[in-house]
Amino acid sequence: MVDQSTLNELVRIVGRENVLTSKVSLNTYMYDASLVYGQPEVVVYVQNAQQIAAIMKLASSKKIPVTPRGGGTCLSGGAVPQRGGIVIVMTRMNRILEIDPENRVAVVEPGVTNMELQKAVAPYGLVYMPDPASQKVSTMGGNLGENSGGMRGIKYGLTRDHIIGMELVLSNGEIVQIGGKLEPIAQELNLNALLIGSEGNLGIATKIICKLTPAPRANRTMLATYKTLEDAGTSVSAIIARGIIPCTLELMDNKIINAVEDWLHIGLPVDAGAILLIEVDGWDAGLDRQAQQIMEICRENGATDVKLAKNAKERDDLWTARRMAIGAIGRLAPNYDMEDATVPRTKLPEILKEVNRLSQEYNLAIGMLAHAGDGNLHPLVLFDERNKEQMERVEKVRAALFRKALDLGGTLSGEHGIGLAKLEFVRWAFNPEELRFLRRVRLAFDPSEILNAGKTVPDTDTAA
Amino acid sequence: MVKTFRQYEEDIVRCNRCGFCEEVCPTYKATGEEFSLARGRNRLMRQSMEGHFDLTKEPEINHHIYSCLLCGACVVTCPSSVITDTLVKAARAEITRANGNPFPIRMALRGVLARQRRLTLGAKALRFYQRSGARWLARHTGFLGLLGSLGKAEGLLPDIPARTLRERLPEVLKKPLKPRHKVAYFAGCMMNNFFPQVAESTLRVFQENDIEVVVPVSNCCGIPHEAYGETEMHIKLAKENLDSFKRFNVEAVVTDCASCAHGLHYYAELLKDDPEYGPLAQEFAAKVKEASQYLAEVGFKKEMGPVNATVTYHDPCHAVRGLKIKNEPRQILKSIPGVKFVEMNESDWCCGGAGSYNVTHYDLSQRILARKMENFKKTGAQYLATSCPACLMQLAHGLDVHHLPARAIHVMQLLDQAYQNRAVKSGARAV
Amino acid sequence: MRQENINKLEKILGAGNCQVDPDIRRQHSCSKTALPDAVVYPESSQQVAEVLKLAGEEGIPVVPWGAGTMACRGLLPLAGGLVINLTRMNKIIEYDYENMTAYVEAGIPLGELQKTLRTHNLYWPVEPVEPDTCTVGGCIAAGASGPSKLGYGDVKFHILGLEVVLPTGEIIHTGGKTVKNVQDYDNTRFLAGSWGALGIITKAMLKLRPVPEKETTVFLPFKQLKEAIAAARIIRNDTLPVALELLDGAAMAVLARAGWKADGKGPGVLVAYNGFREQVDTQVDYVKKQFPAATILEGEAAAAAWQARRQLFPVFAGASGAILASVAIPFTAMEEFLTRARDELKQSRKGAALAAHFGNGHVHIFLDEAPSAYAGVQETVNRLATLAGDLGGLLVVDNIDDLTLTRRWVEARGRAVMELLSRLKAAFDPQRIMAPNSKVLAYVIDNSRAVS
Repeated sequence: MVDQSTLNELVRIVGRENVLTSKVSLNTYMYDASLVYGQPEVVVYVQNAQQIAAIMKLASSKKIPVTPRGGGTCLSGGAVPQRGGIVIVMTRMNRILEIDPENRVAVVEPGVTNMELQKAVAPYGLVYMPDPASQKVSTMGGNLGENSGGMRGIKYGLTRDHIIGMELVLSNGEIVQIGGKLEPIAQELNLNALLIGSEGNLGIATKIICKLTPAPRANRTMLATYKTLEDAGTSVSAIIARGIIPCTLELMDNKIINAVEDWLHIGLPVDAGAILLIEVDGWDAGLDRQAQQIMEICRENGATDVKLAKNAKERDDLWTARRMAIGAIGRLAPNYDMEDATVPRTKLPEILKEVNRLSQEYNLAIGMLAHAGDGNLHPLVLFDERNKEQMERVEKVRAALFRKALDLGGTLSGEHGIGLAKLEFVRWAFNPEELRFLRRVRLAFDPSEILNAGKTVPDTDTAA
Repeated sequence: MVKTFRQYEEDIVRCNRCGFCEEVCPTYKATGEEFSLARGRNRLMRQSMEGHFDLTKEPEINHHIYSCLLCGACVVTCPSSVITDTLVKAARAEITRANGNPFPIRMALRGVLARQRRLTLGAKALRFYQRSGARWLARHTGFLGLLGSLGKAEGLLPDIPARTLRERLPEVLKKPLKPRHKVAYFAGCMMNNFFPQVAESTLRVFQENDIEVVVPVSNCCGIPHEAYGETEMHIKLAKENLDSFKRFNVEAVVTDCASCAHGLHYYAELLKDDPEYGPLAQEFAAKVKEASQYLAEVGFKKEMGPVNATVTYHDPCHAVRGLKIKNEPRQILKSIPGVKFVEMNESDWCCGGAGSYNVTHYDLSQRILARKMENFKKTGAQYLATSCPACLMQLAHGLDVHHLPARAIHVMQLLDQAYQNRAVKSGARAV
Repeated sequence: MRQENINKLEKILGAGNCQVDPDIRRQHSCSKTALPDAVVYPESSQQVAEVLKLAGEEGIPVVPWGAGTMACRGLLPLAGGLVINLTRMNKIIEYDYENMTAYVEAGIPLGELQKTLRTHNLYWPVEPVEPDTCTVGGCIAAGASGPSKLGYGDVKFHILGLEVVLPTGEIIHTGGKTVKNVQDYDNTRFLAGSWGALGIITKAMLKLRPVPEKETTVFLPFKQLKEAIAAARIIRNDTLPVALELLDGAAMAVLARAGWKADGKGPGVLVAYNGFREQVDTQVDYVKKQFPAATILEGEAAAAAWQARRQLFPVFAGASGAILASVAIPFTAMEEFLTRARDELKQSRKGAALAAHFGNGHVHIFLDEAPSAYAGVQETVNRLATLAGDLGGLLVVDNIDDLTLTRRWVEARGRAVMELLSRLKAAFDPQRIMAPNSKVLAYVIDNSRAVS
């Protein structure tokens, strides 16, 4: 697919040193953070939208698959070049172009990491709200493509609530401006909405306009301990039913607690069924009362202990288990798989029970982490990639998990995306008509279907 | 016994490709390239282990394995605690075992660094080069441009003093009247030849604190050899140093080079299974202390004269991650009256010096250094203090190249100055 | 429309549910003379699908309709075709108050919905001009919003999923029930504000909020516009209002006619806070301290003030009608725009009024001229448009048929945008039957190189 004349053209566009074809360099662009692999034919480093546009023009004329890539931290295969072709690496487009504090807007290149943006706006008393767990390394382009979530999601929303525009390179190489810094007033279709979470299928964003929010002035942090996961789940519902929307509501199960305690020895309750990390923020006035209410609710719903942080250091300590959860689990086995099936909040206890059951049925250790406030699970399935038989069981657990999530009125993915990792399950979530429709939308943007070809929406048996 | 590359299979499969190392890997930050990232290097090493590549016959893999700073930042941040720096070193040892190092490297490691007299001769030759006009010629005729990375690295060299530390020892070593402690000082290659004035400060500071210092004969600590996979030489040097130091009955083996400190400490691991040297190495390693670490432990005099300056500190990789030394140097700096201590952003990020890295990978090391200089600029400090001569050389070069009006200095030099200022203040004769 | 098609429609829907009476047709149009050929009242998505299939086969344009309260803001006059009125599809299918969602049919009026939601202390924070009669489907299709969009955003922030009947007759579902959901492209938000151009929304999964513990409104009177602007800026920068409205003197006079009179004659600022009581009280106290002349409104008084604010334009327009221009401006340019626009209007259009959603950077300019006589104010509008553009913003005229300003704005996005929009339209509506008079695509359809 990528012939010599294409390579020559790529060299002309970005310079020889930015076009890689050696077996060794291609090998390191076969993966992202998921379990999927693909073989690129050429890797290209780009510096600006014009280069990307030229590459897209070339690729679409020759129908060469293109995979845009930032940090390559995607958990669903979004950056994996499964169909070969060109990988466009955008890590060098990493400038923060503008911060406008009073207008509460920032413009960044897609290679800027989420955390770099956070750090840049913090001195102005502003926050970019979406805080995916990968924020220190995931890039804004990727956040946009996957509609990344994070712990603050339940109160402050997701990426789609905070990106208001972009410069976009279409698959045919045209550059267009989507949305803008201003709240829309003209009679226009909301293309911005369609693009966020579109997994790099509809275009490549080259400038991203972000909305900034005044930083909450204060917070209160609590850690509640429970005998059972169910009790923790009921507390979550009860807190929200009271009208309190915490900015953090994180659930951790017994396996996680023990993994962290074994590693760090910080005095976690190793017999507990679950712990709940809860944080409320906003104006300082009234936070104490909210915290008191929450603690009461927790106790009424079976909490055996509730701690309230009295200062920044104690807050840090309460956060330790959550912060170190994935690291702690990662130590227990060579590999782990983190899914993000999501269910309506009240169904959380039920699906947690199911995960436990699956863990026993298939004899796999699974640690449970959840953004409990929005029903977003993160079961961490432990395994060894080299053990093929075990991998088969992992796949069965995944399938069962997705089945259950959908049955409970939920979704396959809350924030990691469908990509390649969940492609086969999309047929459980949508009927053939719906899948055909999605494909038509995609083809409207990318008639030659080269951008992240084959991801997100199945293109077999979905003749548009 | 040092584990060989293949024996690390269980460690290498632990990488989940999460990419969290991207936050802290300096070579990744400077290039944006996957193969210049811990995760990418792991990938290539694992693919080699699984037979997709022959590690010893792939120049590109070799290149990526050697572009690693060995700074260890990835290990600290990795959720799965993958020991990438150790894996890289094992890979290098594997490559060296099969191919040997290129001649200039072999010459430098075996022929010069492992022979202190030759090293000193070489240093003196460089000094001649610097003072004779040859340097002026080399710089202005473009000759250096012909030497690639080495030519660029020429600017790193400090002005080499006339006498090494060892040559100065008779004037410097003075047994305190009432010594509280007795330590052996390890004179590292760089300190001895390039920064003897720093070592002098260290010795003066120790003696000021009533610590008797002896300076045994020693050879290179072996860290450069380990970095180039010269395992045999590394072990040979370790044994040589152990043999030399065992003759002295001291409480501690102290050095003001963080790299040497880490390297000497590592002897315990290196010779763990050696029947003859094992126990000696354990005993030795337990005594190894970095200079500020030692002073913090045994206490140091607080009566000092002022050093009126804003000071910040750069954490050498070998100190902060190698030996987990973070507070002690800061404690010392903050105890000096007149010093306004300011914390530098990313103070524990590698400066790009990484031993000989700035010579073999000059361009990349400078890009990494540029980030350090950006961070330094924001402190507004007049002194950029550190505790490793390799860092010292790299940082001084950075201040020069970026035209920053500040001075790179060793912690011991500032402490020495403070003690001297007290002597002046109190009317005693200035040293 | 041919009689045989009317017959087919009656067969699908039942005789009474296909109306050709001229009065009914007039109620479902945006002009006195350009009327649809018939209005139909389906009661299920299946029926909607069958109607659309028929319309596709016969090439009949179709326009969806709810209560019609906002229709003419987003639709041009259209002669002929079919209007599909969704108000018979008005059930709440599932009110899951524990999960704070409600799955409703599109034709349910908002007032009725809110009443049911309140039984479990929840509400849907969407605020169209007519909050009682507007239907959920209408709110979504029109991208409805009111002053509270400052605190909550417009309708798209409050929908989790939709059931849509595509012009092809396919019934599809977008989104789902969970707040976090990335298993499809976000057609849910894409369809919000699409003004019926792409398909018919038949059901919606709504995201609900708890009724706030306390709601308080503060009114600040001023003598000069300058002072009012300065105050509004401080309030937006230092506090977190849910709504922040600035009205010039002329608009304040209209407000009085609309049902809420303030003391004094000058411009005014209306601010709403809600949430936990300490949080509301702290902010209200802050405002009072900075602006001692502020008065606090709660309960009925507050409701009346906001009701009057919502009715501002209809009351201004009266029977003769008026022209509504809307401006988007960077927040930091609000002061300059408002001041210079006021000056311009003082000179060229004394009967005009200004009302701003100050925190959003939106300004509404009411011009006392009937839309049919737009030529009379065109020069003024052009000057204001230039002013807006110079300050980095945009002006559009909402209620005339001329879409030039909008088209220019969209074309400036890049020459490929019109083609892209055209292709998207084709992906949804290959037969081009769906609301050809919908303003969001009218300028695309009639002037682009269409690619099917």
